[in-house]
Amino acid sequence: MAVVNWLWWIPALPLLGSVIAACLHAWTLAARKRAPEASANDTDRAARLAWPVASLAVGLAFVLSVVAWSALSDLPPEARVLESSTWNWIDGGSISFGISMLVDPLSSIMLLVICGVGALIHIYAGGYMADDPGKARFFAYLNLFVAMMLQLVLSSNLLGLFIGWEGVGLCSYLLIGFWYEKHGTSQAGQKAFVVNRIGDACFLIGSFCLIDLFGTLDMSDIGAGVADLLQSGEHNFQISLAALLLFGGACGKSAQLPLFVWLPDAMAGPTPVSALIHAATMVTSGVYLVVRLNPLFAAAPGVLFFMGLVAAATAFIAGSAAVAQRDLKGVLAYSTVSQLGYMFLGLSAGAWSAAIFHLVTHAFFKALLFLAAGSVIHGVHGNQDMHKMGGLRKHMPRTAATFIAGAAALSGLPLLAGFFSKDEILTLTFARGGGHMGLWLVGLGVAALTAFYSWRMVGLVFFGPARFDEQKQKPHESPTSMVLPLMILAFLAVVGGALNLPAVWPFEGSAGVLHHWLAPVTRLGDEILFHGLAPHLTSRTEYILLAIGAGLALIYSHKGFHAYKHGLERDEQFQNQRPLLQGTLRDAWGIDGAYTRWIVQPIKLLAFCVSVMVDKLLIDAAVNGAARGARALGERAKRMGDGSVAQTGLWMGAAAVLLALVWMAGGGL
Amino acid sequence: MIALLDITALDAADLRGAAPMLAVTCGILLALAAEIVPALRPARGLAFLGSLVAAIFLEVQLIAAPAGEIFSGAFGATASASLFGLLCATSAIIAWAYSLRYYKLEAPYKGEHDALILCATLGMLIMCGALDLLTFFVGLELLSVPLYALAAFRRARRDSVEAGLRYFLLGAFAAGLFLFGAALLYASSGTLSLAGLRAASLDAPLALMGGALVISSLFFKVSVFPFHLWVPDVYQGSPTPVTTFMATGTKAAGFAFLFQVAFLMPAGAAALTGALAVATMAVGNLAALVQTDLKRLFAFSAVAHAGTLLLGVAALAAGDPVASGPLDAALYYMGAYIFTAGGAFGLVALMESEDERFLKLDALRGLGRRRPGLAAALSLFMLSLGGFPLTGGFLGKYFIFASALRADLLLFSVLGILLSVVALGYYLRVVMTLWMLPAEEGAPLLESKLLSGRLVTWLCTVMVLALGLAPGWFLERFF
Repeated sequence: MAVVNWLWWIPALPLLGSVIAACLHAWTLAARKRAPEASANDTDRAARLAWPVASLAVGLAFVLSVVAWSALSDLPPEARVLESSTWNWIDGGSISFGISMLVDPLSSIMLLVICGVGALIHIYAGGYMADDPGKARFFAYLNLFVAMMLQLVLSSNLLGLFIGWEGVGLCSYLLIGFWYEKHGTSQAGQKAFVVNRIGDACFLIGSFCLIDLFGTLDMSDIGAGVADLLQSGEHNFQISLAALLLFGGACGKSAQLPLFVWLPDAMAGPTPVSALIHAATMVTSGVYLVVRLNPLFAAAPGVLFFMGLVAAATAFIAGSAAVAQRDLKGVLAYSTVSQLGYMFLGLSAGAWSAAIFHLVTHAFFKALLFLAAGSVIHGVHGNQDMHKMGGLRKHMPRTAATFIAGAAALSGLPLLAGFFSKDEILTLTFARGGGHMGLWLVGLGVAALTAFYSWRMVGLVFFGPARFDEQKQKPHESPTSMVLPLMILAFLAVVGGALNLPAVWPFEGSAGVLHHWLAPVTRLGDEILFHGLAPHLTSRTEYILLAIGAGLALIYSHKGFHAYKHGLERDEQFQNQRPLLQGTLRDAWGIDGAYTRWIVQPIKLLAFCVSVMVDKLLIDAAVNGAARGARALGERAKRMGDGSVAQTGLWMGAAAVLLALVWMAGGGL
Repeated sequence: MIALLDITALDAADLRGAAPMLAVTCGILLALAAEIVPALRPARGLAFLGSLVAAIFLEVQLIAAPAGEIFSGAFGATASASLFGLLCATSAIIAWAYSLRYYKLEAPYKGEHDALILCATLGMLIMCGALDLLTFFVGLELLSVPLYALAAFRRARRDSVEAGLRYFLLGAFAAGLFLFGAALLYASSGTLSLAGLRAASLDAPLALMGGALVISSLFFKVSVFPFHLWVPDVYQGSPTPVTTFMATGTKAAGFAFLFQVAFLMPAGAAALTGALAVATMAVGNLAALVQTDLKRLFAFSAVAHAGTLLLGVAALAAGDPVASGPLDAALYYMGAYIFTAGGAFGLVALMESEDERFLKLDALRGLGRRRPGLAAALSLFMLSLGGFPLTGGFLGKYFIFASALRADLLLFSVLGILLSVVALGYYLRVVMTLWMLPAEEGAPLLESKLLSGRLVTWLCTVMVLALGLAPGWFLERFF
């Protein structure tokens, strides 16, 4: 069977898994209701099936993705597009929307990342959630998320993408608030939902602009349309407006300034969720969107530069905030925001494939870090405060080894995945020249910060004296089902850089594999942005840039590790000597607090005023008054019919005569 | 003058066009024969149902292949006339299904009751296809006289007798208006056939007066403001199955002819008709708001629905650019209304037959918990009457208002839509009473095991949903 005919199975499998898991949850609830006294062992049999079912669904989707990828690679580069037949969803006269599945080089990479990392995280989650009474519900949500994410990357038009976009948002909301009994989780879910709504509104308005410009939401048609419009030289403003609004949508989903505040709070969800949704996949969908629409963004260089400013500011603010966090997952959350900033920095320089490269390696090492952190938290019974850890490498050696591999990749130590991907972004930003030189400098600073906070984590968690009662807590290594995915991800985090080695790499033909793979997708954007003159650096410059990156990573990794491997002294010193700076960094420059004070609270006040003054006094009064008036009229109308037969006949006769007179007088009113 | 019928000149088309009426006539004869020959009694129901089902079957045939003008132009077996006829026959079946075991004291005379219903149905069929004022009048009287008797059928009850008498006196008055109007039209134009009247100039005051009187009498039959004053008392006093029949069948037949004679209105009368439509909706809906008796509430609701249909007539008079738009809209509306109102009144009959009192709104309290099926069906009918989407009532309303808007009756459409919001005030009150208010202590269970009633309730439910969910199926086949 031709590949295109079963493409829709890729999202359908996890969707099916989600439905099955939901049924299993319903059965479990029914069993608990039937036998309230029985132990969880007896009643939760069905729920235990959810893990294998959900993992199998994602695993099969991964197999299909691999098959789709290999089918794609058999085609000549310019013909690498597999598109399923279109289901005509909305047919509204001059405009119609279809739903179809599209696999091209870009979406095939996304498929592999989502299904591959997703499957590993599913396997891991089986151990992590083993004791949770709601595990079937958890896997139902998680599988639904994977289905929606696949819909997002597979859709050939923006409307289908938006369905996935909203779907992953919903699943994110559900999973952040998964432990809704716990204080603060449901507020965190709501915050994520509401903040994302701002971005989604921008996304929608941007889509409307595109419909206005091109009369379609099909993304390849939009790309071609942009090229045509540019030749005619009109509509530059509308193109920029649409690009800006879509970037606003990406800011919401990918946690960029000013909308990044939801992501640190989203860590309230279970750790596998943080790994899958809030590090590896969903938050990168903004990056995916920009790459997918690269001709549109390339046609709006002003928006691209603005994107660079936002990205650099986000990367710096979040990176500096990560330095001052005590919560292990908090560091990782701010680190994620910061790394997403890197990706957008690359996009702003037109380095589409470099951004995707960083997306992929980041998915490996950040998922690894989150999962390893989850393993740590699992091992120390739910504690997340790094100040109450220390010396854990003795108790959980395998977790420690994989975590260190992830941290090394994140900090960009030479030859690891993060080194190559981060460096490529910085190199291309440098090569873009002009205003991007400033952004490059900020990027270098953030690289130093990244190395520092990565090794600070390692030092605080795994080295130094134990800052908890070892007798009482007895930290333990996690089961194999959790450690195995860690090892696979650690392997990928170490060697992932081979996907896209720099141009100066000595071996012939091994450089830029991913870049060449994505070339058919990014060709149009490159043409529009660079007019065929892509910035080029001499080999010597490239070597120097690589050396600067490697040197910074090594120096600051050493500094971070050295400062924290013996204990907390450095943090205490910092807090005592510079309490103001420490507080500012910890609260991410007070942005969230400022939102609460200047936006959320005034809106709440306004809402209260509206509910009292407008709703109660104005609208309710009008509505109730109208209802009372209608009833009063009704009483009159009712009395009309109460008369005697003679009276009724008189009315009728009079009416007939009146009708006749009116008509004879000239026909009408 | 009408050409006298020569019985030998009847041809196959005449017979085919008249076949539904002949089927009903056979039913009447069988029903009466069963009164005389006791051996035929058990087959009474079969004869009734058989004749009406045969009539419906024949009407469906006629819709597919209309026989055209028959009986020398006195009767038109057109597709729309057949569709109206089909609706009237269906309405008779619905009313009859709810009437089984409804009567206690009058049970021995049930045969007469059924024969009278069949007579009225025959009258309706004639009214639906009449192309001649005199033919129509025959149909009208054939409908009205049995209905007078039916309204007073519970002769031991004062309210029933009063309803019959009131209906008879006012009906006779309306018939007088009709005849006088027809006479004036004849005096002015020398013809009674609609084709002749259409060809003649009707600008003379005499003709205008005649038209006004004819239309006034039709307004009386379909209960348009201010000719609706008889409705609440008659609907409430009549036995409920008869009310069901009056509210649905009579309205269908009346509007069928009203659409035929809309040309009698002078140019520019559309605004007045629209105003009357809105006034009818207003009076019906506002008065229904304050009713506590269920039957009276539905009676005023029936008045309001007549107003909506009249808006379709106004759209025709104002010249809807889609020529068949208003009539098709009214047909769809009527189709949904037959099943919705038929089901609603019928359920009242089902619940009422248990104890002899009038059914108050409060008697429905807590029914959602105790009899969820019945409550769900009644709720669906309320939602459809209120025009909720996914029900037949919504689409009917939509078609009517769409036609009115096409005909530039913007003001009346807006007012009409606003008044349908008012209507929700009482339709949703019924739904709320069913589901959200607890039952009173010691309230009767309102249980009814009547099989035919249940079957017809199911039929109505399915049809209301089908008309709302799959309009294409009906529009393809019947329009």
